[in-house]
Amino acid sequence: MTSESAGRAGSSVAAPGGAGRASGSPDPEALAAAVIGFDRVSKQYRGGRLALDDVTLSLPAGGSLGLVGESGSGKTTCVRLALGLERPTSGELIFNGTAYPAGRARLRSLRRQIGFVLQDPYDSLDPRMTIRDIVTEPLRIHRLPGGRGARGDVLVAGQLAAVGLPGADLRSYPARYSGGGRQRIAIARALISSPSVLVCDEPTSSLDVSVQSQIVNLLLDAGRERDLSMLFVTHDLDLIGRVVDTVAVMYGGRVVETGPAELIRQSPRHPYTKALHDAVPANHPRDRRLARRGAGPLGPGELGPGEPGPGEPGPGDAAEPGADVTDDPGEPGAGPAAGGASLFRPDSCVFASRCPRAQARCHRERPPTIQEDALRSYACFYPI
Amino acid sequence: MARALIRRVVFGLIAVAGVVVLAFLLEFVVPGDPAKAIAPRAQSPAVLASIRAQLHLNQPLIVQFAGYFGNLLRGNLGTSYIQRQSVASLIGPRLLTTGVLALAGVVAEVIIGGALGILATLYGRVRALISAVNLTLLAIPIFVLGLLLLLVFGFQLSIAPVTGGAGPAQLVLPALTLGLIGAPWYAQIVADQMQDSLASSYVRTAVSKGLSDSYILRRHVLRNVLSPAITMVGLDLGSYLSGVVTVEVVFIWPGIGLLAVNSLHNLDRPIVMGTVIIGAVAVVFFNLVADVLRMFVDPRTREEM
Amino acid sequence: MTPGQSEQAPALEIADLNVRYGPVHAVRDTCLTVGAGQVVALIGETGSGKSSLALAAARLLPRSAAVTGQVAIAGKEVSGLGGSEFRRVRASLLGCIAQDAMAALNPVVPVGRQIGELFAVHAGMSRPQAAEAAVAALAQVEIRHPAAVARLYPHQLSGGMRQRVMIAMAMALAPPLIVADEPTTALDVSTQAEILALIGELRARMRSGFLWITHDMGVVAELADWAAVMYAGRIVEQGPVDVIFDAPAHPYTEGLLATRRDLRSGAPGAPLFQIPGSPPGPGEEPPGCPFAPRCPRATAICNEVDPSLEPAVGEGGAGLAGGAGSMNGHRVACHHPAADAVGAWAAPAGPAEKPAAKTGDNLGTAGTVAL
Repeated sequence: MTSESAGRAGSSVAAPGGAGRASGSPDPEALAAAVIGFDRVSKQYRGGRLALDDVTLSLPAGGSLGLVGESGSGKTTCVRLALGLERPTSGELIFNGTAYPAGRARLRSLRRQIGFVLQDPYDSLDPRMTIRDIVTEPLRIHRLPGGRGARGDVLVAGQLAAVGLPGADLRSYPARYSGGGRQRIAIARALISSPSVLVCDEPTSSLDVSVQSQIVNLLLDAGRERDLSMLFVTHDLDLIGRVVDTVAVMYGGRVVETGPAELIRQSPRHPYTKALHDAVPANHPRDRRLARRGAGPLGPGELGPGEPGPGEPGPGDAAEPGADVTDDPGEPGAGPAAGGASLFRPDSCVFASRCPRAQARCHRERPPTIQEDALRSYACFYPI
Repeated sequence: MARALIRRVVFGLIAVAGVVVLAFLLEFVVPGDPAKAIAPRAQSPAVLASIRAQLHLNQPLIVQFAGYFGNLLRGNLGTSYIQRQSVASLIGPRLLTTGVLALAGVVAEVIIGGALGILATLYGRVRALISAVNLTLLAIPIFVLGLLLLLVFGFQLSIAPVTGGAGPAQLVLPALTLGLIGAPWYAQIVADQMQDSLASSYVRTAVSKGLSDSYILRRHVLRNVLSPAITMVGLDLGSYLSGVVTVEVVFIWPGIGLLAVNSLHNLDRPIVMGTVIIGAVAVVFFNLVADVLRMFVDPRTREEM
Repeated sequence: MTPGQSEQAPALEIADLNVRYGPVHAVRDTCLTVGAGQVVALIGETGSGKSSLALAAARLLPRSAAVTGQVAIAGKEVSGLGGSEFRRVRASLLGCIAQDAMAALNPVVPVGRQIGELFAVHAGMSRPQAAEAAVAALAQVEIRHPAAVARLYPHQLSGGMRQRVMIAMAMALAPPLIVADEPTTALDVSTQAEILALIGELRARMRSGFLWITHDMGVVAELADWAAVMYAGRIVEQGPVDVIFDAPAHPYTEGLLATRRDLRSGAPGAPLFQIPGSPPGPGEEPPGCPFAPRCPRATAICNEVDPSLEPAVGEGGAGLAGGAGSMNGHRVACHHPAADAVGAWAAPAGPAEKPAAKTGDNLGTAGTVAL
């Protein structure tokens, strides 16, 4: 494992105030024990989009890690990297203590151990395949028994029963199923090759609330029964707190805060985490605060997602650095640098321009990751 | 965007160069001796040999090609074997005649096809009839249609000239032929796009704004149909300019196609090469023009480039 | 009708509305009123008929839909108007905000012109005047540099900006009614918060009434004055939003509220509260109450008689209604409405103790296995 790459920009800043040790460099032990580890991973897309900026994460064996953030935060890029669909621009991805394989065949063996459930059940199931073929596809890809023939039918039927679709017609097509039903099929497919890791990318965000609970409970059960490690990505802070033990909050391609789900929810350190909490609508009309002028901490312009804003360059004309700033006609809460055209890592906090606590330093320096204790870290000069 | 355009031009030139090489090689696969074509009555091998020497036909292929390509880079398309004129001066006027026909043909197919597509989308009752018309037009060979038009309008009704030539009166029937042959494609594209557009959420928004149907059609639907139609026009103009051989032959329209066919018969290689190059350049050029035009019509394509 | 009367008239009055798509009865016998300047949340899940109801009110359903019933906007009966007659008045009566603003805006027309054409067509403005009015409308929704934004195309805007443009368009002619179809569902939470703040601001200024479709009880809590819950094509409960949150009478409403409460306050790793089963599919019309197969309080009568929407009584739990359910307009369609604030799902172990699969509905089994 190479932690020698510490010379790179923005990594070796000393922690202020002695609150903890600087940990831009990863904890080698945690990464060695990780099923999936991100060792200072950056990902830059063609045209200058820096989607991930020096991200270090680890998913411990049998544990669960949640990535939470808004669009443009980099969480989906993390999923693509974890599934081996893309390679990092710099840094290293680790699977069970070794680097992600480079070759196609070895990558396939890795994918056999990673099941995945994606966001849109209407999009992720081929409408022209029967549910039997959909569920057994991983077996055929990985040349495992049961991919074809009667033995497969028994396997599929059992698998479908396990995800709450007993007696489903194996020759039916996805079109017959509702969003929840399709997501159950997707889960059956994800589990059939007996993976050790389950990657879930917003598995419930296109589902109704009552279906969301059913699907999440199904995932929790599956994780527990099969002792799966789970990487769970969502934009829903409430949901993530229920599903995983460790949460990493992402913004603008960086991890701004990491910690146990309970603590992230109850006492956020990073102002962005706090703002994200405060943006969640109230539970009761008497507690309403968002739809009142200037009431919430989220007045326009304070906080925004990284979705492409006006003037923010698409892949085609992304060559001018800083164009996203100067051309911005002023979306209240336009995106952070993740969508911008930074060809180099900006020496500032990604959240600084929208942060209510930001001071001059936040715009000049990149905050180091402060390790508060064994479980908790954050990247902020002025934590809450 | 400018960079993307330059990239396209460069790729286009590479494509043209590729076509030149291929066409040059093909010329030599075609059997026959140009010297014999130039001097059909010459019997003596010495005469033929001297003609070949004059035309550098006795040199190795690669040397001939280098010579031709070098001339080409200087803008020199060479000299016709038979007519002893520069290829450029022979092709130039004919390019204009073919251009007129191509343009008229494209206008005709856009009008006919667009009308068929719009009618089929808006009036369910004529939809079946229109698709029958489309199918017929697709099935009919171009020379059959041309001869049919000539027969009906030229000989039977005598309202169109039956003699060849490049006057305005002679233009009508060949342009109509091209228009009818191309119309079904446009009708299909227009109908598909319109159906998508009419079912779209933004048309529903327009309805919710209390806009009239004709306003919605003009300002919201047709704009979205334009972009793929422009691509088609670009492709058609390019390919028609390389010669609409069948139509030019049927109507004796003195364009590039007719010239190319005659020159192929005569083994007049420089002219054949010239027409091929003109065609390749036209295809590349009009595709580029179509892409640029599309950027004005559909702002989303600006980012794609 | 005199102008004086119509100012007092509710933004929207729907009576006996039915929507059918062939054999599918998407909305049945629905009555709903949006008071002038009020925000009414129409709550429901996929297939509940909430979108059909809203689109029927806005007369935006495709021709294949058969709609019966009365719709009046700002006191003006519109269900009887002919197509072109309605077209001329519709923009001054109601505006629409769609969920997916990207799809709902024309991709090849600058957003300023898309707003401006409202002024040009309905207010008889010249092109430059309309363009100016469009810029003003963009400024209304707190878009900075509205003149620059007016020249941009939808794909050049962020999701939040596009939704602001939609709102500016819907409110351009200050109509008495805005029909909003899940306008914040596709947005990030922080963007949603901004949009909700904007709507709060605009409400104070514009006096438009809103029919706000959502499935998110949080949005309801933030925004609504009145809440109506739809299930299987029916409004199963409606009332003032405080009453709905404090003393929901229908077990489905209770379940929706419990789901959200539990999601926020439950322990990490503990199973989520879930309403077992799934709603009847399109075209499925079991006799009796459509929620009965999923309902913890269901009895024999529930499987036989479809309950009608009646004034809710006895929901004094929070003391808000002063014990007079019929006075505050709280109505529920249930044979066994909640008699106290504890409700149907209140057992500590949640619904999992209930025999979720009792109806043979396989979808309910997953959660039960967990416990």
